[in-house]
Amino acid sequence: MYSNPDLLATNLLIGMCRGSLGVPRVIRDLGYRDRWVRRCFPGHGPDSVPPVLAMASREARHTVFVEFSRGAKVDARQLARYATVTAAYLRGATNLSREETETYDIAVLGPARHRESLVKGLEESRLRFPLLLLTRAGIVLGANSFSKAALSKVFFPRLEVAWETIPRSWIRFNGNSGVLEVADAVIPEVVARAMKGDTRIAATDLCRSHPLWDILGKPGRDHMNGQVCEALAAATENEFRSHFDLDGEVLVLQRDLAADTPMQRAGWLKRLQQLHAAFLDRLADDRSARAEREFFEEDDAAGQ
Amino acid sequence: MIVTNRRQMARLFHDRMNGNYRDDPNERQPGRRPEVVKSYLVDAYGTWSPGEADESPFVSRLAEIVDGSGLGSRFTCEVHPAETGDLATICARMGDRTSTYLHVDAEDPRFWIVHATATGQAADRIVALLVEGSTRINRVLIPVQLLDRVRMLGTCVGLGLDFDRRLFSTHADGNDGSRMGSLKMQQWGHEAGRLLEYMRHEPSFADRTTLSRLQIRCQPDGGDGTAFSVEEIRIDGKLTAKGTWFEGHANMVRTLKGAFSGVVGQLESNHAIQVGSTGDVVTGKALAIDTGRRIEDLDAFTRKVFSGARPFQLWGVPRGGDGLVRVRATDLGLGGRLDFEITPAFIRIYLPSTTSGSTVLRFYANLQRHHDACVRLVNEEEMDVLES
Repeated sequence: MYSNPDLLATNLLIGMCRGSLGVPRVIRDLGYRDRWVRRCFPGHGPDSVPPVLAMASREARHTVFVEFSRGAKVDARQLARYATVTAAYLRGATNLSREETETYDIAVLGPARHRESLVKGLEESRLRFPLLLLTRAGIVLGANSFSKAALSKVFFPRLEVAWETIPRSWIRFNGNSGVLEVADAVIPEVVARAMKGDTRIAATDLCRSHPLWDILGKPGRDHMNGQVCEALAAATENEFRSHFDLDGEVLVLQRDLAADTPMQRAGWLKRLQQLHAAFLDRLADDRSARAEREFFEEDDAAGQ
Repeated sequence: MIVTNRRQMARLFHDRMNGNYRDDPNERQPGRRPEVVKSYLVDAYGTWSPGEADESPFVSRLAEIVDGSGLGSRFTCEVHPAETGDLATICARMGDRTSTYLHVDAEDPRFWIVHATATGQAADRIVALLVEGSTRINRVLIPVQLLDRVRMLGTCVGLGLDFDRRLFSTHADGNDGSRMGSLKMQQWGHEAGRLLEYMRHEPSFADRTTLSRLQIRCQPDGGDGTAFSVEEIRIDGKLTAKGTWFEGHANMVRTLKGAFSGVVGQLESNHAIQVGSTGDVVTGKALAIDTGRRIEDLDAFTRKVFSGARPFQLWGVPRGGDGLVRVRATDLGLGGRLDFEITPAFIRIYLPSTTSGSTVLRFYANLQRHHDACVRLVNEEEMDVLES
């Protein structure tokens, strides 16, 4: 269903912080709430790195910055940046409160099948950041611990997660998303705008509906715009070619729904529904869609 | 008749309810009976732009909607502004027939009230044509809990239950094999409320007792009974009034609108997903529906709900497997977008800040009517949204 395991984990963490039905509530019960931190590192402007997902708790007087590791290796440069962060810096440069920054940790989150190499990477970095491993059964603490024992305890022996039913819609796509996730999010937005009578829809307008758009710096926005254009191009070149055109970065609808009778509009929407289903089916056959399945492969032995 | 202010409109309706046609020579006919006043609650989310300085006047927006609507294409319509900028009369005429008048009250710019005295079916049809063809306004669908709230405002003298699970049935006869697929019932008299409570507490009926209409008798405090109104309030936001007391009807409309807009406001302020004022928080608390009765066939359920057709008016392509189906949906009623994650036991809803909260209530009220009367709309603490 997804090409992007870090999006899966992002949505899970946000869901746990916000009280999504069907996921563990223990992290929310400790007072943790999701935040996006733009100026996380001294010497780096808000545009230079993407915003970082954090879980901050006034009650626990603690913040966890989450660093996703997609592959077998930790990003040593990124971890070294975190090592330069101080509580005083966080209080000055971010909107985190004094209570939330009293203590903090950087948690590295990665697939359990890469446990050995992730542990080794952390050891080599000499940073004792807690390592959270995603296993088929849930999340385990794979190395080191949090500065708050109560949070470490949450992952012992594991925080059980039913991955099949975790939230997937707080953030519908991110910078690592493939065309499938982007198209899945963008085409319904196009239909909503068509219903309002729009016949020319700029890619940036579609980006603006993304909840992180306002938080992203220019490089992040350019990247998202590129992702949306790529998804629109994939749509107009194939299934939707008799309905949409792409004029530069503007999607042009070949009919004005406002001028249609309700019957004509219903017919168009039915046809579009079939085309969108075929479009998503085709994209789901792409190699990238296998990534989620592969994410948990061979993790049982490593993570249990 | 065209009205120029709310006082005149109130007097017009009061006279019509009492069979008095003195102000309108065209309507004056010997022996003409008192009329029923009809009011319709409409979400005008697509015309509503709070805080925008360049917002066009209400009457211009209404005229645009009429022009683009089924009403404008089938009738000759004129929109007459009142003295106050938030009230207008639509005069609709087909050929040489008598004109029909709709009075659109936008005192609350978000939720309009459309009043009419045309005969029931004609008024329903004209209002349906007005909202058809536009995603700027739409009729509302009212959850049972809000009907229960207004039930307490007078003496309940009748009610109707309307539950129909056959919409989701995979059986040819519409029943699910072991349990009744639909329950429709009308009960008149002062015992109606007691019967409803009995059925709600009876396990074999509880999941099907979906209140769909109410009749309430209202009269002024300390009145002698000569001034009264008998209100019929329907799940689709239509209120009709008989009797002698228009003010009672106006109070009922205001109360229902207030209750509905209060819940919509709560959904939009607490659960809409958007970047918060501090810039580092994406706000929007979790929102979900406890489905009560399990959804046995997720595929059939989602195909029906997201087909784009009424009553759900949601368009989308369901994706996923047995455990969870996810739908990035478009609301064809008001043109917004929202996401659903559907499991057999619960449904998560993600409401963007650009989508009306009444879309969520329409989805919820439809589940009350077609899936299980006991479904619960819950917040991040798993508390009932409609009872907080």
